[in-house]
Amino acid sequence: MWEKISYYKKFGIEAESLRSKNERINESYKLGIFFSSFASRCLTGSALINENNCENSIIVLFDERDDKGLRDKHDRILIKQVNSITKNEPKKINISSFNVEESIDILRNQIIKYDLKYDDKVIIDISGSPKPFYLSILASFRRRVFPPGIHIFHSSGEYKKPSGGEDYSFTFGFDKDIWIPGFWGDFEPSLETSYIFLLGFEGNRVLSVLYKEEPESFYGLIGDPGYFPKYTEISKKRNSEFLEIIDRAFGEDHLIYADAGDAVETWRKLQEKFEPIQDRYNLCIVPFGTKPHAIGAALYALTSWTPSIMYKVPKRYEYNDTKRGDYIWLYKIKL
Amino acid sequence: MDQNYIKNPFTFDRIEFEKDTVLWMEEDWLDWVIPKSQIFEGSRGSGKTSDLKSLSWELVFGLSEKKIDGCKKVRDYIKKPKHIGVYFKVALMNISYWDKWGIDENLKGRYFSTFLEFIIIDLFMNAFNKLKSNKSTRWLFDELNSEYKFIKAISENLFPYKENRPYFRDYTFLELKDHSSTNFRIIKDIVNRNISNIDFINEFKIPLVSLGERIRDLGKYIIEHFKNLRNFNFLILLDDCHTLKPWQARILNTAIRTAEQPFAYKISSLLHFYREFTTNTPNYQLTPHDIQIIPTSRDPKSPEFKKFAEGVCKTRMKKYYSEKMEDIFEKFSLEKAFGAKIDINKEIEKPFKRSENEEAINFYKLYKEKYPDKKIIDVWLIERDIRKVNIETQDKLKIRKSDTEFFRKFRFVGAVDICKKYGFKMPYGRLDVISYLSNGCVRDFLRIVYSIFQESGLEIENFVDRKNPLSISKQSEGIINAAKEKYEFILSRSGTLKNEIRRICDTLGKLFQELQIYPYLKTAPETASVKLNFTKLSEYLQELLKQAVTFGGIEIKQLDPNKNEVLIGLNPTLSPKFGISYRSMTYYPQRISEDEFEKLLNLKGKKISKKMLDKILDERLRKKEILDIEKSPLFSKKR
Repeated sequence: MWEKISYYKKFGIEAESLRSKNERINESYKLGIFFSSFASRCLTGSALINENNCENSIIVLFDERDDKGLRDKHDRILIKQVNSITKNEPKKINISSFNVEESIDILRNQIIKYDLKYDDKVIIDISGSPKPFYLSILASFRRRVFPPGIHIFHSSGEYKKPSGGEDYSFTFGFDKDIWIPGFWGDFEPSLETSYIFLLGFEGNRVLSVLYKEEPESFYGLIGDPGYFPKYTEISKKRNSEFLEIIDRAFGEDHLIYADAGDAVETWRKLQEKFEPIQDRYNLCIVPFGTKPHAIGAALYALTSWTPSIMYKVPKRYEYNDTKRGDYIWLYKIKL
Repeated sequence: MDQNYIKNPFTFDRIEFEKDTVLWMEEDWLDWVIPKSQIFEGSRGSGKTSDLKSLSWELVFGLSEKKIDGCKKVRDYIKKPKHIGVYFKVALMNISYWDKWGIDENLKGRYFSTFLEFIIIDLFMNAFNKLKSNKSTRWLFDELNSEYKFIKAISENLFPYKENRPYFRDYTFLELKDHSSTNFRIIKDIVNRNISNIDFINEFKIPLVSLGERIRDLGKYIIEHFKNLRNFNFLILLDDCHTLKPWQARILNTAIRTAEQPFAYKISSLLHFYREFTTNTPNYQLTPHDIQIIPTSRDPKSPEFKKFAEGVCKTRMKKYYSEKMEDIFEKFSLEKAFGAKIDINKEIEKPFKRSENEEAINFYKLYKEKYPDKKIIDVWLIERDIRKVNIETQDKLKIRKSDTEFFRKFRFVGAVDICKKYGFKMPYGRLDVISYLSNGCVRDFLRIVYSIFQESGLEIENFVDRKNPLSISKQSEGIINAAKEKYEFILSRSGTLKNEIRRICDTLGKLFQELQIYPYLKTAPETASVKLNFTKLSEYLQELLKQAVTFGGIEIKQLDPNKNEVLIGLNPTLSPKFGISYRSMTYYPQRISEDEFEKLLNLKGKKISKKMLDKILDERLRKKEILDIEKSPLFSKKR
């Protein structure tokens, strides 16, 4: 059964997080959104929804293919699974994961066609999606006067080091900075900037942002507990230089801990930490950590529209077949 | 946390990452408070942001957690400042979104100008409001009704059409700030959402201006309504302007050109990255009359840099240790701590005395017996046949003079060659060397001093209050460790480009290692850069090299902008890691073709191309670039 882990409500947004090992999703949805990926965990959500429980579906197929055949395989399975759970013919859209703004426009224009109302529910399986896409969908729903209910499904991952590699690396090549559409933030010219880094395993990318952007102050959010017993330890090790700088410059007060899988706990912690000071800094969130952390950060940003969320679009994503981990999560959100 | 760290005061993090920051300013700071537009150019860590922020009203009027300190003239000025500076980081404007905004280019320019203009007005109104509200500074605005009259006048100027003018209840600074803010936020939203429907945009009735237009009017109204501000300067401090697109830079340049006293722009940029100096006036480029260049990477040879570095070191020590030690710290002198200049001959002789290498012993014996009046490196150069004697001239005075110049130029690479031959460690030490290695960047200077202090193992009192400078061996160890740590630091912040950045640094290091030893140093001394046409490199490599500059691994120096020729060298701080000389990358660059450079790097391969390296080295020997002592302008200067 689904175990309720967290609940939080603030400024008109309400959310609860539920966790399970294998429970099915028994609810019905007006729309389901599913993303194909190199990672086989992208297939988890659609396998757990009952037949014909989605009135409509969108299957997002990113342009980038791998040379191991992972995308071909996962695309096939995902299409089959989504077909079986959807009443009407699912809509397949092909978009680029690197032309983020244009791709999000395409996705958003497709979503608009379903005329979603306040009582409708949408499910988004984010397990295979890069962060900008589902975060942007959240922002666009928040802007509506009567947004539908949103369920976000996420499968935790079983992370392995890439073969021959030293680091847990999920991206490769030049990073291009963008603000996630909908999260441009609201800067106050006379205030200093403060960055909130959501830390994962890619410590080098964190440092490259820190030294390139040179914010006046910054914070770190670490996943604790993590997806697996050593997760937090690995994350701290991968970010040791960054954590040392925080320690020297600001102290423990600039470190926040939240369950790596719990988006709602993350939201609550960020809200409690930053709401009292967000009129003192131009806040920018940089999500290098887990997807649930990014969702939590997005929910915090959406309460005031003040913080921005920066995303570093890599040259390409590593072709890692991240399999599903121990837990699956469902975040039920009312915007 | 490393316990030693607490005791080592010479930390080199960004100053913003420190508590109770004190910015140390030398006398040249007083040249920055004047109403003259200036561009602060420098490498990362050279202090551009600190320099700009030091001019901001919050620091100058003591209304910030950060403090300014400096020489007596700076302190005297701060007691009665005569300027109000407002600081803004240009990157906050989401620069790239402007490019994507799908409207007519001219109209886009007008909106950008208006956007930035409103931001600047917002900043000044915020500053005026805070200064007015503060007990110690409210006298600046204490004339009866001055705020009301000023805001009324400026609002009519800013929003000329009554139907578009926002509502002002009390005509206060805060109200104008809010209205300015509303306007720039509307523009920001339109741009971010890429709204290109002009009719829709026009409904917001934003009064479009050219950048600087309303700022000039602001100046007139300030003088008219605030008698206490009549002899003040107003500085617009824009940080990281190299992030602007060329069309945006042109708009800013036009504003700089048309700026009138008491306003001036102070902008910052990474060295060589602010390339656009044209304006919107046809055929007009900014001249030194319009904007003065202030290099923030100070000349490492200059006494000013050393004085500045000394001031920063003292500030650091005072911050970390008890006030009782302030008197000791005031006496601190970099020259006393490290010694002024390295006697490289003396230092190179030391390992010979300890060496068990038969060849080294033989050479040393030869030097002692055959050349009792000469310096050891000079002897090396003679014996290796590196020194080329001009036998055509009979003028003994000329020969002696050119000998002295020659040996001086070749002395450092001579030392490099000796160390390579016999496996000695290249000695680095003394203030001159530390300054050169820091390349005028105070953060790198501190990094080296931090490392030397660690290596010394001394308590701070013994480090500061010295009869004799620290030994060269301790300094050398500290300097080499600092270079290695800097190298790792650069790689760690390179993110996913770590391997490429490493390859670039290692390739340049390896190349210069070879060029600075026999037989290649016969061609020219101290080659520490390659010379090529930057735009002929592949786009990928151009981008990579720019990233390498951003991360602090290399330097690129532009020679002739018309020919796109540049010099590419290592960050001097890294030189000790490779055991090479470091004084300036402009001395004797090695010209190579762009294709050779790309092949040498061999980015797709596992290591640099040995074949290409050999080719470049062979070419160097074959080409007639032997230094002509007679003809070289360096040697023909009259003493």
